[in-house]
Amino acid sequence: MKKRVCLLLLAVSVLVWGTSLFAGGGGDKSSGGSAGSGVTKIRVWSDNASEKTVRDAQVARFNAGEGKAKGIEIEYTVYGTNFAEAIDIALKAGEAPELFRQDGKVFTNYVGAEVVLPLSDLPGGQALVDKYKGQLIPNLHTWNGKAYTLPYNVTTYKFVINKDLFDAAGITKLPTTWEEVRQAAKTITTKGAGQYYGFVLGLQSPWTITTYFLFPNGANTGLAVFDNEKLQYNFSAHLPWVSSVVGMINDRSVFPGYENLDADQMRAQFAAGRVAMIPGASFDVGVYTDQFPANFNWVVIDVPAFTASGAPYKAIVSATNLLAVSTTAKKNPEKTMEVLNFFYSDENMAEMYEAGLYIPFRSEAVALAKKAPTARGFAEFADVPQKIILLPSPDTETAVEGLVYRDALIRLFSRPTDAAAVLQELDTRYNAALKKNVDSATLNGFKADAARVVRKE
Amino acid sequence: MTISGSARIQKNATSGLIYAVLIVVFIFSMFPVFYTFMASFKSNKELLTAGNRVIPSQFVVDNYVQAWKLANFKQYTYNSVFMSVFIVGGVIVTSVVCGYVFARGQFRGKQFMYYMLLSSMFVSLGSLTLYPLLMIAKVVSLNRSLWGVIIIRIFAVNTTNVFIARGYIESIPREIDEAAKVDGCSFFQIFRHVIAPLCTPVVATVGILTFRNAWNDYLLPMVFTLSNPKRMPLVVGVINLKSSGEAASSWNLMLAGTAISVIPMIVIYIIFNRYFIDGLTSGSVKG
Repeated sequence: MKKRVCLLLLAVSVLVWGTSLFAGGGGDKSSGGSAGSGVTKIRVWSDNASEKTVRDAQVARFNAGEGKAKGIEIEYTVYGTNFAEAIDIALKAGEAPELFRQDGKVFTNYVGAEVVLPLSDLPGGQALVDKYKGQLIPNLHTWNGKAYTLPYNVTTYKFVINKDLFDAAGITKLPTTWEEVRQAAKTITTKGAGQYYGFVLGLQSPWTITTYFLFPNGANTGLAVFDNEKLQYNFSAHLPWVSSVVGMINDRSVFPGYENLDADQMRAQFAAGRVAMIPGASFDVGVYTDQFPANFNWVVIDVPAFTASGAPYKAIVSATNLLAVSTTAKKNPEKTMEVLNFFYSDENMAEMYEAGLYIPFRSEAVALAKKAPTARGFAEFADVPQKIILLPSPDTETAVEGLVYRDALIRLFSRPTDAAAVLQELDTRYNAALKKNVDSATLNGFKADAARVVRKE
Repeated sequence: MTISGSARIQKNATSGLIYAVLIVVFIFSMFPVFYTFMASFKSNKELLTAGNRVIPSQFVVDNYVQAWKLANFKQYTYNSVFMSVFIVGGVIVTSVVCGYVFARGQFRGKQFMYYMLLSSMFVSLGSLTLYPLLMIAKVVSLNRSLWGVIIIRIFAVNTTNVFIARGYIESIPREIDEAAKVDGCSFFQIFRHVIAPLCTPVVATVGILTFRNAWNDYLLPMVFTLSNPKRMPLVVGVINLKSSGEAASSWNLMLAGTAISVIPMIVIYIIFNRYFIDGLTSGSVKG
């Protein structure tokens, strides 16, 4: 037995060692720079897994055509769960790719640490920036007056309805106000008799509070949580919808166990036909068609208003950025710029739009599309005639003590108390911290210009 | 009833009780594995909405097909085998040699060094060491390949392994060493010709424990292969499966990937199981 074990170990070692010598082994042969025969490899990292199939095809076309002619090969890598950590370590260690997707508050630190380049530092970079003139937002796209990244697509927010459950409950008019949402939830829950419910929450995923409630209700309040005109936090503006949700919880119209559901579970319960209404974002189109197929008649409606007269403000949409440039690009600025232009091209975005992957930031890309996306609900999510881009807020700089607003709302929904008092306390605490911790120069960086003011035209 | 009959009944009852306890333990141990395996055949929706049902309402074999394709299993499995084999080989050598030195060596400060080493068993620095390790590896140009991981894992001595090896070697009678010494063996020759050949069980134990750690190692290999994603080990690919879909997590694919990735671990354990138990028990009883 001993001999056999030794032989087995030896055989495996020889096999691995031998194949490693012939197959590149543990060594590195693709770390950027030259890819051989005069071709320069430009690395691009992303965490956009959903677009990978379409993007891979585009990159393959580039490498075989335009890239080959210009001596460029794109190495496109999609990272999963730990993308943020991967980028962070790579930037600190000087191992970053030339281009990477960025869309987080941490980017301010990268600008400060000078590990990323302004787009205008690349030859022809300013021309690309100029295509977005008047649309770039400080602390989101520009820092110190220079653009470091550009918006690519927008995420819109609506409400998704299980029409079959409405029909079963005999409700013919879909809700247009939060009060109607509460009434419908109550009726449907009663009809469901424990089989299905009116509404659902996913309190284990704090981002659902922001993405599914605070952003969408910007159409009702004119802000997410921070008033970029008055430079103050205003949570109390959200009282009507918060009260409606607390009311539904007290009515027992919310799917039981919502305190322990995360975002995936709440959406899966909706897709299983056990919930009649759920807030939705445009990225949920893929969720309800591919990941959790909702095999019933579901429709997308506007975010409920606070009053019967409708939402008074433009809808808030989030602009998602695509790529930023690391200092690695200094070695090959021209070729990095070629790749950046390729990724931001309207033609490529039009393909993404046709596939129903994104709502383009630039209307020029929509115009180039040869066909409209056919995914269910996509057209409704894309139909936002009056919109403003979500403005950044100084959350990180505020450094508030105690519960952050998302956790405070989660606690309120877990153990309903006086909603007005909770929101008032958040206003007081956040504005005090803002005054104490954020200097006026930093704060003024978040001021929105008059053209962005949010009331509907 | 005769005495032998009564003894037989007592013996049967004892055996029955032992079996009953073992069956309960077996069920508690195996149920999560069985549940996970069955869950890997569920659709993503069923996984999140029908957690109380063990058997899937419909077996979705496509989870495995997709996982195999998306996680690049062929390449990543090769990378994991490559990394694990070298780490296991290296760690066995360093652990057994350290164990021998601490068990039989006579030098000033031995006890102090051993207990200092032992105390590190209770300190977990986790990912704090990641960046410094990467910086050190960068100095010697080992930061872009699995070789960096292999060298770090071999020479960053694993205290548990040394503890097990020392315990096992302590259980070998010292008279054997004395006899070898009389025959003219040096300290190293005693290890090579006498102690090492007797260490099969502890080699298997350390080997299996190390293989498990190396196979599941995530953060360090991920960081060291950032610039060279083709060299990523399997576990990185499997975890990435979770984010391979649209805006929701693809738990179904991750579970299918996990189910495939544990197969080598099970095979290794089955092969070395007998020695594994010997190595652990010898160390614990007589250490």
